[in-house]
Amino acid sequence: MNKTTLFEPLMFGRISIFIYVVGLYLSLNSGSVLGSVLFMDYGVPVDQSKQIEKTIAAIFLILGFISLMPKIWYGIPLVGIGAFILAYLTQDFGGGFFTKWSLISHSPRYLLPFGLVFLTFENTKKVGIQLFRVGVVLVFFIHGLESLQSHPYFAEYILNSFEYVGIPVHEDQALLMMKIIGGIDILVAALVLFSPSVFIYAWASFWVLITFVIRFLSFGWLMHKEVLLRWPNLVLPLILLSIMLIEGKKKNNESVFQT
Amino acid sequence: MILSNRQKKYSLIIVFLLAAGVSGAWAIYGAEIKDSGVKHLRVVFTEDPSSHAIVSWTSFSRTQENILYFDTVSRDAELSRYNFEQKEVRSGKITMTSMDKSEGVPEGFYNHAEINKLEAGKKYYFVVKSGDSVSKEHYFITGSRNSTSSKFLWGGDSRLGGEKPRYAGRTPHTDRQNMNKRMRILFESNPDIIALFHGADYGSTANWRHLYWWFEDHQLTTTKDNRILPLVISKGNHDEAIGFLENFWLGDISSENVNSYYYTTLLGEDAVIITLNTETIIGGKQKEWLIDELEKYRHSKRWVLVNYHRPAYPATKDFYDFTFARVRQTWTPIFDKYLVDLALESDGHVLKRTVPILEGKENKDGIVYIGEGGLGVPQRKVDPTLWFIQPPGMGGSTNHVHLISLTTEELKLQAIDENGKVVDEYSRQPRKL
Repeated sequence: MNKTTLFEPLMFGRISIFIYVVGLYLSLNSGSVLGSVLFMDYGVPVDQSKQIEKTIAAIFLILGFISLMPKIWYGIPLVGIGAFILAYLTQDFGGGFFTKWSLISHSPRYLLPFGLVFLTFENTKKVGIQLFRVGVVLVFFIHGLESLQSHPYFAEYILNSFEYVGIPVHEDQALLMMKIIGGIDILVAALVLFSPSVFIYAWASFWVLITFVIRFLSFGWLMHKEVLLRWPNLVLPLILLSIMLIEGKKKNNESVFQT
Repeated sequence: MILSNRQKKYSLIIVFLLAAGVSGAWAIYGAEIKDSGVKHLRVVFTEDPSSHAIVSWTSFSRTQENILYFDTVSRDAELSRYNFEQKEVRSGKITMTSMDKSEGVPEGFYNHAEINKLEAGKKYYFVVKSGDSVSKEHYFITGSRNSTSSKFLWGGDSRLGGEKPRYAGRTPHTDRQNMNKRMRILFESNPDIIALFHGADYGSTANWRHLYWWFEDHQLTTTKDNRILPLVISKGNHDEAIGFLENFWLGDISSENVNSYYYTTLLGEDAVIITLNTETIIGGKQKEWLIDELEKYRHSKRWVLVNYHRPAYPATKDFYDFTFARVRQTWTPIFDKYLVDLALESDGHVLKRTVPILEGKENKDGIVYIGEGGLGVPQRKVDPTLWFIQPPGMGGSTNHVHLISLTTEELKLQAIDENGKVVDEYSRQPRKL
């Protein structure tokens, strides 16, 4: 494989993996699904479960640091494998709203590292871009579906953030907004799948950013862990947007975005 | 390889014995999970235990004829002698997932008979009939309407419990069974217990492979003379599956919000327990409803308690986790404003009693939060550094059920472990509002 010169989206991707890993580190350290599975399903004593979680958290953090090093790429897929396992455990263990879809809703968390590895090399770059696209499609589709099905947290974000800015809304209005938002999210997923464009990636990035802001408006700084864990949701469309802009500048006749 | 006749003979015998062993084991296994007739009798109270109940059961074959027969005197299961019957029974096939099928639980049908206008403080004897199958006669006692004292059991988290195998869904859940046996003993020695208020997370999921065994184990709470311990239902984060709605139906007669699993239960003249649902939108309508209920009852009732699954003050899980912060941010300011008398929390799998808390700080006039779930579930350890479980609060790690009594003089509670040992006690006088 020919290694290419690193361009900006790659570095942004690496920094983003580190940001996600910090979220993961905080999550695992404060008790996560991993500890619950070990304790509840496999009977590992609670202290040992916590110790294992903390050890894995530390390993993730080391992998995060390694991911920041431009010439070393092999730590990145390990983060992806870890994120995939955690998504699987979340889905399998249940006990949260819509956790039955966690493998899909968490897909940016593992597709970011995997996609980034492919993106690192010129001859697999297209695969990386397609993986990122799949991530954006899946995350928008599944959140659209959750919104249409009245995800309680989403409703509370709307209720609380509107109250925060001094325009209180009723629950019925919040649920109506969610129907509209859900419809738009699914439309975005379809457009990314069939007709990706600068506009649609810009919208997707903007919308993820909005969801971060309303989390903070709703429940304050406590949401930092939630936002860090969802950082890849923002990164995938942003990287696709930047690549598209770079490609546009190069005015390549053959676009890597053609399906 | 050529076998001699002797070797062939022995080989045949071995193959035959193996086949017989496998068939025998299969037959035994099959027999264990084959059900017929009617099972899983239970009584559910919602808003007014003195006049309204839902009698539910599981049947194992499809039939249109599902009937509840009941009376205020025993009729020894002779159907024609019962003075009352409820033929309008909500029935349907219980949803089975592929895992339910692979776990081997039998296909079942839920049945719910809602009965209203019951007499307060009365014994109701009943049998249920599905097709040709008729249950034994059981009975329950309705709540009092005028009494100034109430007694009930409260506990949450019965979704696992047993050494081997521990994996969610398989039986036996020995710890859960032991807790249920303990509840039966408490029920027998305290016949004035109205019901078990369950803090939710019944099974690891509300799929049939989990609820089937939960219902099996719940039968252990029935007294030797066939008195059923009624249930007051709340919803937890492991109760999301459709099986929860199918098997814990709360009736048509109740208020609209009851089927969203938040409602107020009247206990005699002096007490209410407000069951909230952390597994839906906790702001919005539910929050408005909570304020309305507290406006209505805080000054007219001596005791106002709240019961919900996800804790505002978790004693083992991350205090700053959004899951709990949302409860703290949305509901506790309301609890503080109306000074509820006790908050009942589940989910964490520990035993805790907080110091009295008001506006997020220890305050002698504040609210005590108890519980966190121990009806058989494996117990975690509390975080001993947490400020809200320091003395006079407490934290521990043992399965438990709370026996709570409310009188004109005091609220008294005991946390009792599976051996009957009192592991925590607390009492307080009514507030002077």
